[in-house]
Amino acid sequence: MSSKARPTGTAAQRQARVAAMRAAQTRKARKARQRRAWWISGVAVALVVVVIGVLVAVKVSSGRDTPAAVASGPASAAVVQGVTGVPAATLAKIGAGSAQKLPTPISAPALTADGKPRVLYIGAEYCPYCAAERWPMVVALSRFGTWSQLQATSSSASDVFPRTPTLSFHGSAYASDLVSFTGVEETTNIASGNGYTPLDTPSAADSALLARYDAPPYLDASSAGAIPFVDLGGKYMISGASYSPQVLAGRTREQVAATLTDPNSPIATAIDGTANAITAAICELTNQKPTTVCNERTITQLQSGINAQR
Amino acid sequence: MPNADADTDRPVAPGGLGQSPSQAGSAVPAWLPLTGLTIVAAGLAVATYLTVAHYDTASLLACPGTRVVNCEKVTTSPESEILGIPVALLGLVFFAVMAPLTLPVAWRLAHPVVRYGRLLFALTGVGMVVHLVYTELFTLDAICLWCTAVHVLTIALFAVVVAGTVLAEPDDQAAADDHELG
Repeated sequence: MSSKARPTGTAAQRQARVAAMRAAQTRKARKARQRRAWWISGVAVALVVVVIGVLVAVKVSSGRDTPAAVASGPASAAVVQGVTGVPAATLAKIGAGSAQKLPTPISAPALTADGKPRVLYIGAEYCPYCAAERWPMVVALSRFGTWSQLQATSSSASDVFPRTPTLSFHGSAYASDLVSFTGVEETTNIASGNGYTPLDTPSAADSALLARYDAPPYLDASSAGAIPFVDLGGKYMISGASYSPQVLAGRTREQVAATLTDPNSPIATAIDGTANAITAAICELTNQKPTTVCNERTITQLQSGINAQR
Repeated sequence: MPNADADTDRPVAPGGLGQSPSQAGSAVPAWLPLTGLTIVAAGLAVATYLTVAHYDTASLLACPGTRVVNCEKVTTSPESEILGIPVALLGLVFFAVMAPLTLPVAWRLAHPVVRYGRLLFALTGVGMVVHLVYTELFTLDAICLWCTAVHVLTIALFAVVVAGTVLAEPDDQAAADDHELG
C-alpha cells in the first residue's frame, strides 16, 4: 500500500486542489517572511539602540569634564571707567555701528517702577549672548543714571564663545531719576547637573513678561524664552544679543572697556552701536530726557528706525 | 471570506499595487513604502531646518534655557562639518537620496544594486548617527534636540529598509513549494 494519497475526482478537481494547496503554501511562506522581516529589522534596530544606550550610559556614569568656571567679582576701576564713561562724541560718531538689530516694538502695558519707566533684563552669567548684550546695556543706561558695584564675570568656559568677558548685573546697583532698572541673572557660570547653579529668581510678574513677549509674534517659536531678554518699559523688547560675542573673543574686560572710545574698533562699533539703539529706545520712555542725550541726531535717527518697525 | 487585513497587507509588486506576492516573486506590503516616505519627508524637513540654521547664525544669537540641550553649540561647532561640508547638509542629502529609493516603484525593482544599495545607504546613515551621538556626548558635551530628531528618523528609516529588503527577497520558497506539489 502506497503512503501517497491516491488522486481522486476529475482532472479539474485535482487542479483546483493543487491550486488551493499552492495558495495556502504561498500564504504560509508570506507570513513566515513577514515574521522574519520583523525579527531581523527588530534585531538590527535593537543593536543600534544598544550601542547608543551604551554610549549614554558611559557618559552618564563618567560625568562631565567641565572646564573651570571663571570667578565673578567686582569690576576693576578701569573697566568701570571705560564702560560708564564713553564720550558722547564717540557714540555720536558710531551711530548704529555694527548692531545687527534694533529693539522691537511690542504692544504691552507700560512697565514702570517708582513712577519711572522700567527696564527689565533677564539673562544668565553662563550665557555668551547675555555677556555680549550687557556691555551696551551698561553703556546706554550710564547716560540716564549711575552704576555702582558693577560686577565682572565671563560666560561659561564650556559653551559656545567660551569665557566671553563681560559684566554681571547680579550684585550691581543702578540709580536714576529717569528710569528704573531690574537685572536678573538666573544662573552663574558654574556648571551643575544639566545646567548651572541658580542665582537670581525673577519675580512671577517678570517671568510672565518673558513668557508673553519673548515669544511669537515677536520672534520665531523656536527661539521663545531664549535669553537675554530685555523689556524696555513695555514698549520695546530685545531677545538675544544684538551682535556676535565673537567680537569679544580673546579679549580681557579691560581691553574691551579701553577700546570703547575708538570708533574704528570692531568692538566699539558693536557695543557702542547697540548702546545707541538701546539709548534711543529708552529716550522714547523718558519723554526724550535728558535732552543732551535724546536730542542727539544719531539717537533721533535710530528712534525713527525703531518705530518704523511697528 | 475576505481577509480583514487584506488592505494593509496588500503587496507592492511588479505590475502595480494589489498583485499577489507569488506573481512577483518579491513584494513588500503597501504600508512599507508609505511609512518610508513619511519618515523621509520628516527627515527632509528637519534636515533642511538644521542646514538653514547652520548658515543663518544671525537668527541664533540667544541662549536656550538649559545647558546640555544646546543646538547652537552642536550646529556651530567644528565637528558640525566634515571635510568642510556641514553635517546638516549631509543629512539633507541622505534623505534626498533615500526619497526616490523608498518610492513604491523602487521597492518593485529587484535589481541587487537598488536593493542592497538602499540597505547599505541606510546602514551608512545609522553609522553616521552613532558617530554623531558619540561626538555630542563626549566631544561637545551638548545635545541638539533637532539633531536627535534626525537620528531617530534615520534609525526608523533603517528599520523600514531592513524589513523591506527581507520582504522583497526573491520567492525561493514558492519555487520549492511548486516542486513539492508537482
